Amino acid sequence: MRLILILVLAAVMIPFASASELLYSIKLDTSDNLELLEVKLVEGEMPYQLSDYVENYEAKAVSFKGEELQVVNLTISDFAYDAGEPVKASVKYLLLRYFANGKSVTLYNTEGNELLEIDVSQFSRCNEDEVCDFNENVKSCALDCTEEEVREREVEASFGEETPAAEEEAGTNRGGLKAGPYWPYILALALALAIALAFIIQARKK
Amino acid sequence: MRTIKRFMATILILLIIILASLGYSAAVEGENIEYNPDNIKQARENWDVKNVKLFESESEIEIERAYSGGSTAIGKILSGEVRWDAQEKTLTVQPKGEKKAQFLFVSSPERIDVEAEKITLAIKGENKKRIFNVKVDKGIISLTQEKQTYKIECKDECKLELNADIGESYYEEKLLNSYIAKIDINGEGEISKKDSEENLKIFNLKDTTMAYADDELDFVLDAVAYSSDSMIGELGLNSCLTVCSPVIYGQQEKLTVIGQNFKVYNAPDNTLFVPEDDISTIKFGDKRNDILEIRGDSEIIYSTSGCKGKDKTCVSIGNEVEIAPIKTGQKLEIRYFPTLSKNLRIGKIKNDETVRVMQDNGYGQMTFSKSEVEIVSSNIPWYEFDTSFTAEPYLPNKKDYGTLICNINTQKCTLDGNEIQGPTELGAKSCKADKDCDSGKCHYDQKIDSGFCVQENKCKELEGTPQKGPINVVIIAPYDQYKNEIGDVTKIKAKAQEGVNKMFAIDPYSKSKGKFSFSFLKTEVENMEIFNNKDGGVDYLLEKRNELCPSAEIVIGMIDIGGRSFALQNENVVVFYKHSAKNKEDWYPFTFVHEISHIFGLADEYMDTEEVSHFEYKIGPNCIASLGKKTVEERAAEVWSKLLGNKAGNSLAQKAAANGYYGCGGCANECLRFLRPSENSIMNNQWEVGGQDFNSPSIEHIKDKLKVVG
Repeated sequence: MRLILILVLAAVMIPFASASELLYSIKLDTSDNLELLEVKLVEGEMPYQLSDYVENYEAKAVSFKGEELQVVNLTISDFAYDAGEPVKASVKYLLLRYFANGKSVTLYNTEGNELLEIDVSQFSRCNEDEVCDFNENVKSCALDCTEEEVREREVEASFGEETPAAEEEAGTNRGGLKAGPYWPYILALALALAIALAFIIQARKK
Repeated sequence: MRTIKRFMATILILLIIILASLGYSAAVEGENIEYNPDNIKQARENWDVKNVKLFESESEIEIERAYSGGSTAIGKILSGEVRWDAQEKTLTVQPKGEKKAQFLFVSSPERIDVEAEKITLAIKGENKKRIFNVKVDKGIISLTQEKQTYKIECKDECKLELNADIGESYYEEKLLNSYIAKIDINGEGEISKKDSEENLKIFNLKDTTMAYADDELDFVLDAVAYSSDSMIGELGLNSCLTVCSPVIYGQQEKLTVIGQNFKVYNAPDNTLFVPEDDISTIKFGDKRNDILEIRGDSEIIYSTSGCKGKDKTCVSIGNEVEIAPIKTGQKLEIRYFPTLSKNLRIGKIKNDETVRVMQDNGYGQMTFSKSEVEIVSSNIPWYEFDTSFTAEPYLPNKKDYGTLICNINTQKCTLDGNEIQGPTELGAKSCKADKDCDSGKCHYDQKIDSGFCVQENKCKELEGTPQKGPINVVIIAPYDQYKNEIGDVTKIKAKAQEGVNKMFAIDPYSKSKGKFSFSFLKTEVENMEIFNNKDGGVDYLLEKRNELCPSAEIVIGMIDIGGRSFALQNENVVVFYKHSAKNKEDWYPFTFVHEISHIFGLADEYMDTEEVSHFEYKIGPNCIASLGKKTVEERAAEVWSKLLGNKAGNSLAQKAAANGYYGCGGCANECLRFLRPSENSIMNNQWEVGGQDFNSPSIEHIKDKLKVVG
């Protein structure tokens, strides 16, 4: 019985198990004052803090409404083991979790002074302005979008010059299993239901 | 059977909980209409309220805002029934009669604007009505409704009256020079010449407050925030239509369109449509970002002058259409269609204004701000926008504006005559599948139903080493493309495997294989000489990690030249040179283990020479210094007891002191003060006897660190 339950659980968890996250990768110039060199999105997992060195900076991601989304501590230091001399990377890469409503990442020093504000709004899919903008949807931005608004926008967009290729693409993407990673959920659900059914039948036999 | 019953009962309980929650939230929603500062902030953004002060007493609110007339006034609501809860940060307006008003806008002591639909909802739940010309003496206490008149009564000293003009016959007339504009409550109106029966223009401006025309037959339609359905008839030759969207309206700016024989229709979504054979489709966002859609083969010009010489920023389309909408802090979005605009001219932009030009598919954007032109469109170059553009960005070094010209035909850009690269790319392209991305990788996030093109993770597993663990270690083998042979890389890879295998042969790593996964990448480098400079070598490895394997926790560079290997704990980087003075073989595997252990916080257990004695040292759980009043021995007993237990920790400290295991931390004379747990270990001299294992504090410390990954 326990085995069946474990199987059900495992089946439901399949789609989540191997999912890697979307992360902001922020490249900073540390040679003089902290300066932003690049922000991009990468795929991966938030790295673990492996050691207990003293962090001397804090990076805080905030939303358009000013809510704190994530805080990451970081160290910029020129200490190197075995080097016999200071070693300082001129760049620092900072990874933070991606948030659809992420507006900025601000760096603070230990005194809490703001050193640098990094705009990440170009990646946002929810600017929390109560207007359903073109790249927002109900899932990414329930605050701004309703199902109705999204439908209206799609209708509006359909007035544009949609090429046959685009139409074809839209069809394949919205309709079938190719659309996105829905199929693992459907499979998992089907599997879970099948096992649950087996479980009920077995219970009845008893 | 009993199991089925339990199963059903659980489902039933869950359903009851869900329904109860829904019912509770609905009840709460119906009962209270609460303010919080965010609501006020939102109102401020919508209405361009200049300043909102919430006093932390229970009864005072001061709201200052600019309103339609263009003036700014201060109003106050004073009442014991307006509650500001500083702790909860909520503001509740409680009018007389136990009903709560949702929005109250005060524009002056003499005038109060109340967003009527919210009040009616709060009072009676009736249909939406409008209220005009509300007069208030001093303040507001309560709201009551009598027929078509709203009364607001002060509690103690004043009497207020809201005259709600709810009817079919209301007209507001505005006389401007020789023209008269009329508009009724439904927004329908007309413009005629004074003393003339002939209607020059007929329009529908539902929910607008006034319309007028000036001498040149320029129409000015001041649409209030709730404007939802406005229409204007045909404009004459060289006529100018000015439509103020709510935000622009608050900023005293006008959106001006000049055109010939076209119709403008402000649809429910605040969109102005123009026939396809004419110049443009103009779409106003109803909140902060206004969107201008342009159809037509026109030149778009954005400049700081124009609009009949008025000192304001404006965008003009060709010689015919001028758009003058933005002011400091505002954003104008221009959406255009690729077959149309051929040249985009952006003038000087002051302060934090931005002009955003979007592709019709919504994916591509060009954003012009004071000093920057950004392509917010993923992986397409600027010339994919099918338009040349000219901008005048502010150049901080020059302390003046420059001229940026990007030509679609030559696909080149110049800044003040010097050729430069095109604008840098920002943002991430939206996608639904990998095929949508030039990078070849679409990360589709089901939770937000959105996909982003991301760089492909190019980590490649290092065969014969652990792969399943959460701590990702990427081993990078840079090779000189002109000198190294592939065989060299193969050798490095074998050495990497040897190092990893050695690591997992030693306690505590031997029991933690499942916590690691190793990958291996060979990367081209123009010249291996960069690794003679430690800083440059680290920069290279970090860059490669970010480019190929960005979320790896640890990066180890296996460098095919001689040097002294080292580890940068704060960057989790190990630079592992082929030879050093002590290396007895290429990439000595115990050095690999030594360096990677620094990442987990182990200190060196050796002392260095005088030459480097000036350099900072670092202690750790395996290299103890005195602390405060505690001697080094007492401190060692304390630290090691925490790791090993009291008996073993104290015993080890006594033994280390008795045996004279002083000296560690990697420096010279000053490191003699420090105490290490053993005569030799892998963190000391890994080439000598006893240097191929960890001592017990080191083992326990690493075990502790590895616990963070489960």
